[in-house]
Amino acid sequence: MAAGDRRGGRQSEAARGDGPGPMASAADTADPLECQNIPADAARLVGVRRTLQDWASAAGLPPSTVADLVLASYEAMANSAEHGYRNGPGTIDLLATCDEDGVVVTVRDRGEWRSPPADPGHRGRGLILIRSMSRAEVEPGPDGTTVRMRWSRS
Amino acid sequence: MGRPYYHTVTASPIGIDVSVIDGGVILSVAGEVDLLTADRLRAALEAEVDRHALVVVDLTAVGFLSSSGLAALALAHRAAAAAGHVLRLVAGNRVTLRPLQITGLAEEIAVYPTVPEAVADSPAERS
Repeated sequence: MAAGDRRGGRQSEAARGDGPGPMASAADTADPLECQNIPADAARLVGVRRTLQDWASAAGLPPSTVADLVLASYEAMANSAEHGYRNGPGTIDLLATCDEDGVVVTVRDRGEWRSPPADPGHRGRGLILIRSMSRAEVEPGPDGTTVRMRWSRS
Repeated sequence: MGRPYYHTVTASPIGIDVSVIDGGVILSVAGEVDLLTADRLRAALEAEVDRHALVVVDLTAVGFLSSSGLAALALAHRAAAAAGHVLRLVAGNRVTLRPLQITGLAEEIAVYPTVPEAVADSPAERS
């Protein structure tokens, strides 16, 4: 499959814009959103952010949760783009899934984990946002970093 | 959603309007402040905080504020303070207020709900 292919089934009615709209209650059965091999650069992340926002809205999450999810996920991706691939271009995988309990967004890169500096700077603030706006697990490893963020439905 | 997202290298442009007021300047920012656009905000702020005693940054029309934008604001706040100047923020919406509050920046930089309130407050009360 080509780099950056969006996998994971059909788009929801709401996302296509020809259905009954985001108020339709198919919410907790929303299809996973899977974006693989996203080029880790700032310009690409804007489109991914919008796609994720549409997905989270269509999943029927409250607007405040949608906003938190979009910002925290963006911070995780921006972190990879900005710090994970200092030695050359890399890619990011994003997976968003949703069930009756809530949503999980996983952002994975294959870059190098760098500990945040003592001065919060923007690296530190990104992690603070991620940890404050979600139940987050950050797993740095030799082959990259995985950030898993969860939100409850209510 | 006709084209796959990754073909769209979407610009997330921000607009920055500068208006001079008595004793200072108001920077009205509109759009999305993210990794792509934060440098423009940083540059615009850098130019103003040295020159004006009061710099009010109006974020009312900002629809997205990421940590790179917060860093630009924090940097400008520090530069303003170093020059003996004052930087104030106007943020009335959750989308800007929440990241400012979570990161503690709202405690470092004075945040007002509206521009008139930010302009009216005297520097003495804030510094």
